[in-house]
Parts: sequence; structure tokens; C-alpha cells
Amino acid sequence: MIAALLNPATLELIVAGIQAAITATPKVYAVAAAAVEWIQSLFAAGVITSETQDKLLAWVDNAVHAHVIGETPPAWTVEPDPVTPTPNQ
Amino acid sequence: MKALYALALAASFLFTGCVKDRLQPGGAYAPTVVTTSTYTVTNTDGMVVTNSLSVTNATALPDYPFFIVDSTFKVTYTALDAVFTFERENRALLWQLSPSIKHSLDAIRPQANDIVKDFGIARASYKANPTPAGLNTMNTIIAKLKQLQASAAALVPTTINAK
Repeated sequence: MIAALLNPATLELIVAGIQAAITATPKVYAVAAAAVEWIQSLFAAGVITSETQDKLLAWVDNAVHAHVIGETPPAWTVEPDPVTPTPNQ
Repeated sequence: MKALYALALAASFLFTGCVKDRLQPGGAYAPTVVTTSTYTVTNTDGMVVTNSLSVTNATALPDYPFFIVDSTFKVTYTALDAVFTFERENRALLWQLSPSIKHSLDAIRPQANDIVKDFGIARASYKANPTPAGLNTMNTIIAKLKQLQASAAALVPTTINAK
């Protein structure tokens, strides 16, 4: 089963599935599309280029650094609940 | 939405065993160093000729496991960030559906933040001193992040019907 999962043809199906799921959520597309592009780049030409490696290292460095120094992204912080309008009595 | 995260989670498992011998030398996970030697030769005419010879050597073995760890982290983090961002950008509408969506994700957010911090610390330690134990630590932390990702994805509705 693992060998089937490693098959490039299988991967193409999975990537196509991800893309199909993305079309249903346009707000999330920009974020998830980056993940899809990343997955595709790993299997292009069969070699992980030095540029791709450098980009990955820098990306992870920046992502964890922000959390470690306390600069948590707004989406990861607990914010106040929305204010619900009080119905007129 | 749930299908998207399920596929992203499945893709995160595909990286295991897929990148053997595929790291181009000179990249961040397969560093190399170029050593240039300069030497002079006096030819038969008595002229002194200066030549240089550059040799590229790997400074260390390519670190495939570390590359896989970082790749998996990126996919997992991106998927989890997408859930948090989706909820935040659609908060008013999701709040009408059920306040428990935000409250449940709010319970996950601090945990996810702490796990990413732990990963950052473990990763810095590994970069300073690469060891198999360090890799295991990072993989253990990522497994926790994946669990939170799955939990968070399950909280977000697959369809939203505006009232």
C-alpha cells in the first residue's frame, strides 16, 4: 500500500483531489494552494533543488521564530467573542 | 473543507521514503563547500603561471530525515493555519451557526502555539547538534500538531449556508 502511495500517478490524483477541494473554499485557496504548489515542486524533475531546500528552511525558520519570540499570528490567538446585538424588547 | 484537510494530512505522510537521493548538493539540507587552491607553475620558458583548482565537497551527509521533518511540519502548519484563518475571517457567520466552533478552536489555539514553540526549540537544538534522538523529538512534536490539526479540521463545517 505504501508503494502505491509513493507512485507519482497516485500523487497526481491526490493533488488533483486537493485542488478540487480547494475550489469549494475560495477564502482558504491562497493558503492551501501554496501547500499544493509545494507538494508538486517536490516531485518535479525528481530532484529537490537547492533553491527549494533553501526556501523550505527559511520558511520553517520564520514560522517557528515568530511563535518562539511571542509574535503569534492573529489567527492563532484567542480573541474576544463577537458582540451579539441585543434584540429590542 | 474536511476533505481538503484530510488530503493534506495524507500528503504529509507521503513524504516518508519519497525523497531518497533527491537532495541537490548545495542546498540547505545538503550543504557543500567549495575549496579553491591556488598554485604556481614555472614552465619551460621560465614563465611563472598561476592556476587555481576548485573542489566542491559536502560539509556533511545530506540530511534527508531533517528535510522530511521540515516538509511535514510545513504541510501540517499550513493546514492548521488555514483552519484558524478560515474561522477568523468568517467568524461572524460561523458564530451564527454555533458559538462552540470558535470556543472549541480557542481551546486548540494556545495548545497549537505551545507545540510550535516546542518544535522551534527542538529544531534549534537539532540544528546545533544533529542526532537521531533529536529527530525523534521533532517527529513526536509534529505528531501532536497533526492531532490538533485533525481536531481543528473536524470542527469546521464543510458547507456554510448564509441565513
